[in-house]
Amino acid sequence: MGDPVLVSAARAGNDRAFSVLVKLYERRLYCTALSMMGSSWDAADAVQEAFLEAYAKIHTLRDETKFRPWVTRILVNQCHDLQRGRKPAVPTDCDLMPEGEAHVFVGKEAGLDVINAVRRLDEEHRVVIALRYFQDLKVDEIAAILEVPSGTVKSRLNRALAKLSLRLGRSNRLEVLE
Amino acid sequence: MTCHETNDSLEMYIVGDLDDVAARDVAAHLAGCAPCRRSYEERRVLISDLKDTAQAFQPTRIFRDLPDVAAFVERRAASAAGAASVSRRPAVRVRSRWAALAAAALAAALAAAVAVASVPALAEEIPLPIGHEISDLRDQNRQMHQQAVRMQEQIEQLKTEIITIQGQHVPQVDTANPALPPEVNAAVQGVVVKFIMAQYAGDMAAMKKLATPALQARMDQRPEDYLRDKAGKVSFAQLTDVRTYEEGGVTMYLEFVRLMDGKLFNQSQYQEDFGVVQSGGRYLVDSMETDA
Repeated sequence: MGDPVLVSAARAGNDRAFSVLVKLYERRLYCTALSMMGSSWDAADAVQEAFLEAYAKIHTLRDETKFRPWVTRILVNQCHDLQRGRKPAVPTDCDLMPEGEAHVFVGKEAGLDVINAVRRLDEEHRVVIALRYFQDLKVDEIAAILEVPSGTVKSRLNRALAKLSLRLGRSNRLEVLE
Repeated sequence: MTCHETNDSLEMYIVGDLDDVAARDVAAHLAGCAPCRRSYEERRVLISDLKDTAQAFQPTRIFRDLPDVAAFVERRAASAAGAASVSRRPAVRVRSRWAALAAAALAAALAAAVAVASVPALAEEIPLPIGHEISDLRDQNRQMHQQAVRMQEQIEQLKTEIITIQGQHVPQVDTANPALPPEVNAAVQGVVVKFIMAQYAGDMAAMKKLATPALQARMDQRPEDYLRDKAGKVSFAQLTDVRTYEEGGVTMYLEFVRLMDGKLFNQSQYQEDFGVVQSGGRYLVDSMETDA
């Protein structure tokens, strides 16, 4: 990935480099926020706030190879802050619709089913799914962000995948095979 | 490597996070074990779909509301000036720099090609590797798209059959994987159906007999989450066949039931998700979550 080069440039004050980082990450971060927030509009707010904070604090990021987990942590905190400041809105309250949201859906139809299934998971499961597959983070990185042991992340991932398989009507064999 | 160990390592194997030795062990086991190969393929498809979804939503409003952005940055800049060092960038400069950034991001959002088209210009300020990286990203996106098409073709049609459980005629979704022994499947579904019938009879005592001590405690704390309309009638719309997974050395049986009672979620179906465990030769409900 080009993160280190871009991050170095952005840290040195190159706004265009930061704008490319925004472009590279906005979909992933927005998708992650979609899985955590009650509405797509709240998700967009969270991502916007996260980028603003990242822009203001990028000089504090010492390891330029860690931009992704760093900005993800900022987003997760922003989501929690926004959730605390608003009437609780659990993602399972409403499915995302094909239109009328804070995004243009550019994926396959299955993508809408997938995100709605993720949004119906309980919080601890939808967060690990989002961080693992939407943000492409390592288990240890997720553990650090959520401040839980790596083993907990793994077991939550397995449980979340089992639930998603059922909710999406997929054939699966997640059971223990002896 | 046993099936159990393989199953535990499957997610890391699919994502590519295992070291070479462990990955070879998993691959060797998969080569000789058809059930595990099916597990691998099923989970790989699901993970692939999840990864595709990461790029499926293009936000339309991020950074578009410039007055709000400017106001936010202004507040932050004022706060930074007060706190001396939230940002080491001068407050006035932050605003102007941010406005330029916002405008650049807006332009990028309006045309997906902008980021790529900007590469030659960026090359003046940023070393060349970024061009390779963006090219790599485009290749990855193309591969993901091709993979998504293949995955779409592999989605299996669910088979539905009518079964009779506890006197209830319920359509069952057969997810077509190697099932648990029929008697286990029926026993778990039977406990779940009995539990639901007790919910609609308002019979907390009967529900508790079917529940683990942990669930009994939760039912005592929040009975309203578990009791349904006593006089209400419920229709069973659908049952899944039972799935299992391992949690802390305990096998958890998952069963999802779609119901309709004309009250919860209005006239629509709703879902109850059950976690069932085996205890003392019996199956007991350990968790019940209501789902839309």
